[in-house]
This record gives sequence, structure tokens and C-alpha cells, in this order.
Amino acid sequence: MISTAQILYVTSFALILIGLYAVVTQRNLIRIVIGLNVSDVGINLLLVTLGFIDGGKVPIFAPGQAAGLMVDPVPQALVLTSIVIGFGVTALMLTLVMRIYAHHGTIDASRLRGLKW
Amino acid sequence: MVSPMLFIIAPLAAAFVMIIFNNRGLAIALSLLTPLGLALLGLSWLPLTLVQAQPILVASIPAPLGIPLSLDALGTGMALLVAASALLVVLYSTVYMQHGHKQVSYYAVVMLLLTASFGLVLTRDIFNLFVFFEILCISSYILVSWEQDGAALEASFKYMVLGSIGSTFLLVAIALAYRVAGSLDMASVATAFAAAPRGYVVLASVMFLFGIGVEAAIFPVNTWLPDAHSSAPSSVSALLSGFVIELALVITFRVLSTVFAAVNMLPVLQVLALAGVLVGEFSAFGQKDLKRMLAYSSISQIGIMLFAFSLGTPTGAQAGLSHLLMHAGAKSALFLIAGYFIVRTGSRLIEDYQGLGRRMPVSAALFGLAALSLVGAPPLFGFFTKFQILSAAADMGGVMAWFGIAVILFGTVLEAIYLFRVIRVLFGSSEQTARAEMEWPALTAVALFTALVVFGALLLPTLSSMIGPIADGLSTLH
Repeated sequence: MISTAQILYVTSFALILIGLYAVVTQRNLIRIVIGLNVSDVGINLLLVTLGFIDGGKVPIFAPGQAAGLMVDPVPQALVLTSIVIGFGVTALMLTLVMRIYAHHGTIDASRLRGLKW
Repeated sequence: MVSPMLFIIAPLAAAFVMIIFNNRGLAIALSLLTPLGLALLGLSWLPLTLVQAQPILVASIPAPLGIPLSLDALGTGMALLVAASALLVVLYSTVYMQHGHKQVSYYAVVMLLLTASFGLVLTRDIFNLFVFFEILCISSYILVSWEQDGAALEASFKYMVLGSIGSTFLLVAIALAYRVAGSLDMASVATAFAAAPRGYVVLASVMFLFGIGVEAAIFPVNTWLPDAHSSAPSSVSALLSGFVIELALVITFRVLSTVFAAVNMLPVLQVLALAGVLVGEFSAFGQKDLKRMLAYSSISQIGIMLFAFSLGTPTGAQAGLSHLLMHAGAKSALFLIAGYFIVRTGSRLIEDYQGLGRRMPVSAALFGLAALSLVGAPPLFGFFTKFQILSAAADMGGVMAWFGIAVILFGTVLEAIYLFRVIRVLFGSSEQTARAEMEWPALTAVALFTALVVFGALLLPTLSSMIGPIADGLSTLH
């Protein structure tokens, strides 16, 4: 029997790898940014899954709520931070892509001398 | 005693105040006073931390629940280096960055870079480490793209892509650690890893190494460095090459040898370090662009330091840290002077600096001294630190250590050849003799950096009384 957590682990690692594959193979700078975003989502999913309990409850102490059944709140706090950082980096990257386009008239990495790696 | 929390709070507050008032004079005053104050704060804590690490209680919540911070001797030493370098670079920037745009934001981002650097040395929590690592990365991306010309934008984008991949790896490592330990506190993670399945720890430590290693410019993940450090404004290159990569290297090594102590990464690190030395020196050898040459030389110097650390002996760690101090002074001075060479000639190519020593005699002389120290010419500081590293390796013995000695000596020969080529061009003949020296604040900053690498050998007796506890910080977690 495959548990929900196992499906989530596999999905998150798949997302991370798909994102990294896109970063490595794509030549369009916007697609590279999208690739990094996809692997960001994979990471966030991985972090949330760490605290996941099948049939778990919200981590708020109330009458009749046992700590054992609550999902772990720490990874959720981490994900919140990670989403904010990811958002900031994406915004900065897109700004750079815009400036690169204004300078060179292209966002194709193979036509930009400094971006061959 | 003032709380070491100020290391994080003061530069962050200074950055916000600058942006709110948006006044150039205020921004310069704040960004000079903040590192000065923090350097004094570091000095006042130094005697205490040399005896014992000082834990910092944040928001009165103790370790497993709160975020543990701690100031140990290594942290104080690094904080002093960061604060002093930043002070001098800001002094230089006051004249160097005079004509650019948005100067207030420049100083604000430099303050953010300081916040992140101090945060990295203080933190004892792996997720907090990630947050400060991201602040460090983001402020570096912004500073690299500062000139907004084609090369700087491309270099910054490349740096961002590699940095983001690095932070993805870092987060996976953190997720693995949290899965095993159920806590983010470094000490608890280390204990949990000691009992965890070996494959798990190996995966986590490799992910961590290639995650944070991007910022530390460890060999295979350093391809961003030559572009980023050479197309950034020279004051920024001096910050990035002067302390950011060294700091990242120290943090990487400390976490690998404490939190991930369950796997012995030292042989891997030795190989990566020597590969970095060779790649850096060979690439620098072929460069015609002065700042690119210096950037490649940073890669090889990072390799030398990492090799010294990864010998795993106390003498190796001490020699590596002395070399780090020397490199911070020498490379900052070289980049800062190169900045004015570019301003005065309008060219980045070494061949265009023919006879520049006649127009800028003091700067060229200081450049020569810093370059000689970097190569390791006696009686300059660089000779003693390189000698210490080689003798630490020789004491250790074994094939890898002797191979390392050979590689470092060979690298030194290459480094001497390409740096002497620059010095010969600088002091060549030229018909232009009109004086065009740097402005005095810039000259003062450069002279102080150079003084460190020239008279650093005189510091050695003082340094050797403190280096023991400082180097301990590389392999213990307090």
C-alpha cells in the first residue's frame, strides 16, 4: 500500500529534478527562471511533507486535541520563509532578464556572450 | 557589555534608516560608523570569547525551541575582519562611487551584506543559516549588477542561477537533517546524524557542500566567480573577494566538520581544493583583463585555504586562517587599486596600463607590494602564511599532503609569473607623466590594507597567542 506521504515525496523530488533539468537544457532566460521556480515548488512540497501525518490535525491545542495527531508546524513555518525568499529571488531575476533584453535585444542564452556555461 | 545581537541589528537598522532619509551624507556617515562601532564591539568581546564561547539568548527562548546564536573566538575574529574590511571599502567607495546612480541604495545593500555576514558567523541553527545565506546571496547579486552594463547584468544572472540551484541543494540538505533530527539546532542535528543511516548523512553532506559551496567558490561550482567578481564595481569586488567567499568557506568547513562529522569529507575536500588551485592559476595565467585575472587568483587562493583546513590538523587550520587574513588584505588592496587603474585609463586590459606607475607611483607601488605578498615573497606576510601551510602539510605526511605541496608550489610559480607581468607593465616607460594619484580617502583605505600584508609578519607573535582558540572554532561547535 502506497501512503500519501510516499506519493508526496516522489512528486517533490520529481518536481525538483524537472526544474533543474529545465535550467540546464533551456536557452530562453525566462524558461530558466520558470525552471528554478518549479524546483522551488518541489522543495516547498518536500518541506511540508516532512511534517505531514496521514489524517493529522491543525497544530492548535484545544480540548480533545492530542499532540500526537497534529501535523508538525515547524516545516510549515520554514516553507513560509522559503516561499518569501523564492518570490524575492524570482522578482529580482525577472528584473535582470528585462534589463538584459533592453541591453541586448535578446533573451536567448546562446546569443549572450557572458552566459555560456 | 553590549550584546553581540548588535552585529545583526545595527547594520540592518542602518540600511533601513538610510533608505528612509535618502540622503547621501547620512548614508555615508552611517555606513562608516556602523562597521567602526561593530569592530570596536568585536574587540571588546575578543578577550572573553578567546577563553570561552558566549551563547546569546534570543528573545529569552532557550535552545531547542528558540534560535540559538553564539559568539565564539572564530566568530569574533571573522566579525572583526568583516567590519574592518567593510569600513575601509566604504571609505574608498565615498570617492570611487561618486558619479554613479542611486548611491544611497548602494550603501544600504552593503549594510545588508554585513548583516548577512555577521548572521552567518553567529547562527547555530541550520535554517537560520539558510536565511542569512540567502540574504548574503541576494545582496551580492544586486551589488554585482550595480553598473547595469551588459557584462554586469549577464554575470549577475549567471551568479543568480547558480546561487538558486545552490540554495535548492542547501534546502534539501536541511530537509534531510530535519527529518533525521526533528530539530534545526546544529548540535542536535550533529548528534542525530551520528546515529543515522550512513547513506542518509552522505547524501545530506554532499547536498550541503554543493549548496553552500556555490557561495564559497569551491571548485566545481565556482564558474560564476570570474564573471561576477570582474564585472562588479571594484569596491564590490573587494568586498566579495576580500571577505564574502572566505567567510562562506569558513562556514562551509565548520558546518561540514561539526554537523556532518559522521562522514569524513576531508579527502574529498582536499581533492576539490587542489583542483581549484590548479584551475584558478591556469585560467588566471591566460588572462588579459586585470580584474578577471585577480578573480581567478581568488579561486586558487580559496583552494589553498581549503586545502589547509582540510588537512584536519590544528596547525593546518591555524595556517589556513592566517592565510585567509593575508588574502583578505592583499586581494582587497589589489581590487581597489585595479578600480582606479580602470578609472584613470578607461580600460580593463593589462596592456593598456603601460607606464601607469609614472602617473600613479604610490598606487602602483602598493599594488606591487600586495601582489608580492599574494605570491608569498619574503619578508611579506604572505610568505609566512604560505610557509605555515606547506609545513603543516609536510608534518602531516602522506601522498595527498605531498601532492598538495607540489601543486601549491607549482601554482605559486604560475602566480609569480602572471603578477610580475602586470608589475613590469606598470613600471614600464611611458610618455604620459602627468600625476593622477587616487583621492586621499581611497589611498588611505588601500594603504591600510597593504600595511596589513606588509607588516603582518610583525603581528604573528600576537596572532599566534590567539589563533589556537580561533582555529578551534573550525572543528568544534560552541
